Amino acid sequence: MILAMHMANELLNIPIAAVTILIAAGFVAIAAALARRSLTTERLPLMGVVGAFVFAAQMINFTLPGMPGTSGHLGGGVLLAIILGPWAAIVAMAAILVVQCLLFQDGGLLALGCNILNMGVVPCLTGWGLYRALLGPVSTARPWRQYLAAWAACILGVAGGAALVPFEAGFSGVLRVPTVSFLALMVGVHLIIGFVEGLITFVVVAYLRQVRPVSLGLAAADASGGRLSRGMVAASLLATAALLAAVVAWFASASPDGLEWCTTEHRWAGADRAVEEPSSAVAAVNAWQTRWSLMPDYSRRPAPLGEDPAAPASTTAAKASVVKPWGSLAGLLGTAVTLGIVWSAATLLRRRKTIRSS
Amino acid sequence: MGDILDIRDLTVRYADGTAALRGITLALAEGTRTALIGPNGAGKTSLLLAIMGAVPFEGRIVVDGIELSKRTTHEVRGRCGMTFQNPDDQLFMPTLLEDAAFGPLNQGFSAAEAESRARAAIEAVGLKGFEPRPAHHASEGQKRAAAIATVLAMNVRLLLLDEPGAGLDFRSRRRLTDLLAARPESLLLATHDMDMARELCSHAVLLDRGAVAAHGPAKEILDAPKLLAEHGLA
Amino acid sequence: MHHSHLDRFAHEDSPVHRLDARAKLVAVVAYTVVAISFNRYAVTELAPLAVLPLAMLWFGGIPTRFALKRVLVLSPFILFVCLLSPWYDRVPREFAVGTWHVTLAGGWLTSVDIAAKFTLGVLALTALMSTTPFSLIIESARRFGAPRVLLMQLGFLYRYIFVLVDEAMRVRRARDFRGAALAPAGRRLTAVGGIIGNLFVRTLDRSERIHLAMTARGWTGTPPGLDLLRFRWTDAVFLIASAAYLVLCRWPGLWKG
Repeated sequence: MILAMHMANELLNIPIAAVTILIAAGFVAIAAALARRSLTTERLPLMGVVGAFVFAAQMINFTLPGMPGTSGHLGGGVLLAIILGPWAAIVAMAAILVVQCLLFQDGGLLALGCNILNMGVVPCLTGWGLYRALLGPVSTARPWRQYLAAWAACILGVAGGAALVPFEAGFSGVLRVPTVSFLALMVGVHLIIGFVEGLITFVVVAYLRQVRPVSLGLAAADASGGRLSRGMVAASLLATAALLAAVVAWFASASPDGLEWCTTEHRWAGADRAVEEPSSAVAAVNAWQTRWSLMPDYSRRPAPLGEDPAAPASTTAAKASVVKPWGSLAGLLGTAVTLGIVWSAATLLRRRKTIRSS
Repeated sequence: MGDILDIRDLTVRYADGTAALRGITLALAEGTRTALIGPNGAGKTSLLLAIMGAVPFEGRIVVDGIELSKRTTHEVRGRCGMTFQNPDDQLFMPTLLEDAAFGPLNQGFSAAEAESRARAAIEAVGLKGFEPRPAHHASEGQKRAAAIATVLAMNVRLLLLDEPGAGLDFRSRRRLTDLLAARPESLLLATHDMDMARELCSHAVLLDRGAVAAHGPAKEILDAPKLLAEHGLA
Repeated sequence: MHHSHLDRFAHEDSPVHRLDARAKLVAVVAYTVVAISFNRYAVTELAPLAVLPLAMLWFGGIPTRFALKRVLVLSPFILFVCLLSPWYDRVPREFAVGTWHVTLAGGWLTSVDIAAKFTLGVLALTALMSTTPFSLIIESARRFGAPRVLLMQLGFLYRYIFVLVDEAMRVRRARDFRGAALAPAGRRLTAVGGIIGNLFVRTLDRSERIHLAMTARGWTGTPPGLDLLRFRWTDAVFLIASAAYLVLCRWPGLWKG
């Protein structure tokens, strides 16, 4: 099973999608300018080809011991940042995510901003930052320090990016899963994913240290051969387990109770409307969404666009009717008829073409 | 002069200082096709790269009357075109049309002119209809032909082809040979394929360990089993 | 499905394929915005939105099965989210079509809504990418002013994904053929590091050769561009019709008024 963390369109509303797209575009523009300055023309094809490399590297799976059927693979952002520097890595990751969105339809068009932030900008910047902080001087880095830095950078980068997902979804108000529980889930799962990615990244770093030390910024080949020690792996395993346990415990004590989340939300906004609606949280979110969505929902407005304001479908005491019954029936029938017409027109057109060509 | 390529005392060194080519002297007459043969590591690819001005060298290289130097690299590259062993390294644009137009655009032609040159070149190698397609939709033989089209579009006078027939099936190889036989450009063909060399080339150069071991009419070299055996080719 | 066949229909010919890539791109983005702008309990209101992607697929000669398969392949994550939703939103809501009335937990409606929006979004993107070559999408982005460095990377990326993925799959197969599944975890992990590291070193070398191939053809650092897009009257008609259609989908009340 591969756990995807591509944000989907459907979990976002328009303002959040727009804001994240703008922020991501800003980061990519800055990264492109900085990468252009730091890379010579010789390295210019590198970012794109290395992007393709990340796709290819994702094909190399590693079946987790003790968990048959579960395999980890490389996400790539942190590894790219370690090798290319954060700016070129951000451009490469942005290109990867655009291709994943368009060609593979993985992650929605409007969620592209979120995805570039979660999987490109955040892992590249935080991962690279932690890596360099732990590494010390690059050209003379000791192997154990380099592995540890690469591995820790992956965990931080991957989990950090994933931690944004619940907030993006939460602010959009589409999903009613409480942000705290969602956060615990995402961070928990991605600590494990980050751990596996870190493990893979560090064996890749070990290989590069032996074979092409220059690509890591090292002055010369490592005399020790840069082999991984068994103790290294065991230590990292233990550290992640401890980290995971700590996070889970922390979220558990922070009480990820859905109800509590709803009530806080209720006090925060729209409490005065609580009488007509069964849940004030619903009202709050709806009011917020109606105010902010690009095209407010027509069936909810008092007298939208010349329709009868006394339509019977308005709210009864306990239930909120979602659609106008007859209007929706007409809509469904109309859609079916239209689709029928379009389909026959397309079929006729194609048949005529084959007759002509034969 | 009549020589499309004139090389004197050419020495090329790898980054670590070992010599890839040692004192090569070689002249190719305009309009001829010459086979460049030699065992693996003899320096065939290094020679082609040196002619393109892609590696530092000592000595003198004159292409079509222009002496190669830092200043003239651009001009020389407008006169000779090289295809690489692996066409995937050469076809780097999203579609064949854009790939074939890449060179002409860099030569300063307008978009429209570059496009028509690209289309003509693609048609010349028999790939008409493939213009809007990406290279990964093409077969190995089609990729080789496309790689050649990318340099034909630049109206070069000398083609430097590195193993164009390697790994092709009989039919694709036949097509490629016919295509090259019909071209007016001078040709330097680095290859292990003796049959293709015999069929296409009037002359041959045998390289071994970075030096010219023999240079002359194709018959005298390609059909000399003893000479070939001495250099590990038969 | 083989990876390089994701865009196998993009190079065919049909009235939809012949439309300007910019027109299709703008229409699909606008379409996605409209689809997402419906609130989370919208279920039947989304139905008319099925018309545009299906029409593009049908007139483009793309098998509907191919597009629906994409939806299925991509659905696991979104299905997981859909199943979570009813758990947290149990407020009863009345759902009615004609005389048929049901009361459901709001979460179920949200689930259906998310699944419907997801299906529509994937259908629309598949319709776009199956009728438009990727290179023309890049060209459109260039015309809309996207940074050239990024566009160049997209071009290289698209070109080399399939080459490198094939390479990776060959190495992976070679590893598995030699009994990697039986090896202890430590050795398997080292193998993964070796394979990926080796792939990376080859990628570095390849990008050097590509750079060489580019400079051999006179490249000096500025990405060149061809003039491949033509905006014709049919594109204008397509855009106006799509706009009118999207407005009507969003505000069906306009029919009556």
